[in-house]
Amino acid sequence: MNKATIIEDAITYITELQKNVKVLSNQLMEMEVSSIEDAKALSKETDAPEETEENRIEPDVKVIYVNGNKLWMKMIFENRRGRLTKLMEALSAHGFELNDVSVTTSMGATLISSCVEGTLGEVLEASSMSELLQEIIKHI
Amino acid sequence: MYVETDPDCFDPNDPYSIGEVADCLGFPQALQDPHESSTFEQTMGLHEDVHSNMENCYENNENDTHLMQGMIHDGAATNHLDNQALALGNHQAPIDNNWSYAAQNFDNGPPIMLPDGQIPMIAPTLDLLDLFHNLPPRSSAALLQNQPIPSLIEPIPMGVYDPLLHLAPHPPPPLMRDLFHSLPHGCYRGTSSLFGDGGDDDGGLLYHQNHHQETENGMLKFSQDINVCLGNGRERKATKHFTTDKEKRSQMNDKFAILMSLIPNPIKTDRASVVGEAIEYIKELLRTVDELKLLVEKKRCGMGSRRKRHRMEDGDMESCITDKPISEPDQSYSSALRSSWLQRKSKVTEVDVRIIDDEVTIKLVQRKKINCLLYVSRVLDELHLDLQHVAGGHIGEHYSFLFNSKVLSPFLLLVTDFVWTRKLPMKWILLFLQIYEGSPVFASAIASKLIEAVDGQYAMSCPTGSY
Repeated sequence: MNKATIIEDAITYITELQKNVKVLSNQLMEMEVSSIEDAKALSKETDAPEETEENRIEPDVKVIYVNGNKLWMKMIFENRRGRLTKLMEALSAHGFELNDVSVTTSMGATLISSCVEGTLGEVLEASSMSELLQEIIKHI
Repeated sequence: MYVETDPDCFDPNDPYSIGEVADCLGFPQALQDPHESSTFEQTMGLHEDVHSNMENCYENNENDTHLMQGMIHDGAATNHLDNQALALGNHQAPIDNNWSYAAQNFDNGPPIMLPDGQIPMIAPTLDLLDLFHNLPPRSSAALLQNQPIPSLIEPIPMGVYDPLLHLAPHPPPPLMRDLFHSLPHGCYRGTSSLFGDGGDDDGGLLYHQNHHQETENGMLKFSQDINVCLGNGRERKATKHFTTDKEKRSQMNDKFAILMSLIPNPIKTDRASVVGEAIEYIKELLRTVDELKLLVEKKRCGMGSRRKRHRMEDGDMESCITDKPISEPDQSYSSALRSSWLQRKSKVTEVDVRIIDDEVTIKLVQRKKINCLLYVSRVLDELHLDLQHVAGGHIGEHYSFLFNSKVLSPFLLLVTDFVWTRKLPMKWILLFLQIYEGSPVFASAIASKLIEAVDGQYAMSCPTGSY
């Protein structure tokens, strides 16, 4: 086995494996299509129990001034699908950047604690930030 | 007389026995009646003539280059062959048996006449044996199968080897020896024994050595030419050894280029990295194939019972977020856990996705900081992966996030190749994702989409940034 044959064999083997992957994926896709309706029905079921079984979760926001342009915030809100994304979008729209983020979800609630920094140069103030965040939570 | 196959009749060290073989090999006179004993005297006479011929050749060493080239280009084997044979000479190898075989073949050989009419003197020393022994494989095989002798010599476009000339009392000029190093490898199966070099199966190496040894460009040219020439006249199976160094290099480069094109997102283009990444990619493909097989099997088995399982496990998942939920396999499911792991890298981004059964762990490393939390969560929404945990750390230039997510609805993602086109600053993001059982989210799709999204956002946010 010299270098040339090793390289050739590697090329052959890779193409063969890629072909296998493709075949299997297609096979899986065909099988998936037939069962996707079942799955959709299931997903609706799984979403609903979270809201009705758990106690309604009150949004809670705490903001503390750290230093400079940095604030520390802690948020608790109900965990619904896509909420985190919307929250991120809203925050970035305002020019806030999250550093050292920790997000935890449990029992249908989401807890976010993070440092917030302004990227647009504005001076952040704790109380106004707190109100802003509560507004955001209401809308997402 | 030399029809006899008795090897003992031939003494390699006895120059006079050469005559016998010369007899067989092709004196015109001898061929008419190879059995004639009187040919011995004839061969002796011719032998002396040839000997002086050879000495003339040696005196013309400075013309070797031309001689050799003449050999190639004219195809005429005149005195030049003398030099060649001389080079072959002076090396002793016990090839008696071969010689006897060769001897047998001479009966059937037609007259062998050099193009210019020179009578080929045969120098039946062991050196000559070497010559025949080391002809191309086809010819060697022919030898052993008692093929007619012309088969030995036909392929050589330059005509007939003038095989004698081993009679030279002094060693052949070193250039000649080097020259014959360069002859087609197929010719020199026994080269290592012949020339006392370390044997090497790689004809290229032999050739390579020759290049190093050669000091004259002319000789080099000759060795290249002779390879080509001899190659053309031979069976194809010997042509492998005829590629020059340059051709070999270009072939290797082509192969490396092909290999690199197969690898997704190659970062470095040097050979070692390409090989390394190919290794990783092959392992990844193997894992993916296993995963897919498992998924197919599970899907086949579990279509009917999925509904029930979802109801059962829903409540459990909430409470064991950080634990890996061990789903009780349905009786019809295979008991193996679906698992996959792959990595994707770009110049500034590195993504590591691991899926174990219904939990997905994603690590994303970014060098510079951008707010990729947003983009990642977007991508995960697209993939219908619900974030369960996110842990983000900012260490110097790195960020770290931990996400734990749950798939809300089965979403089929095919393993496709997303092309990373942009460089990306690096952050660490650790994502834990939970996937409902049976949802075919593929690790590579996750990785690719993430990289694509984060890359794209970075490019958008820093359009003028230099990477």
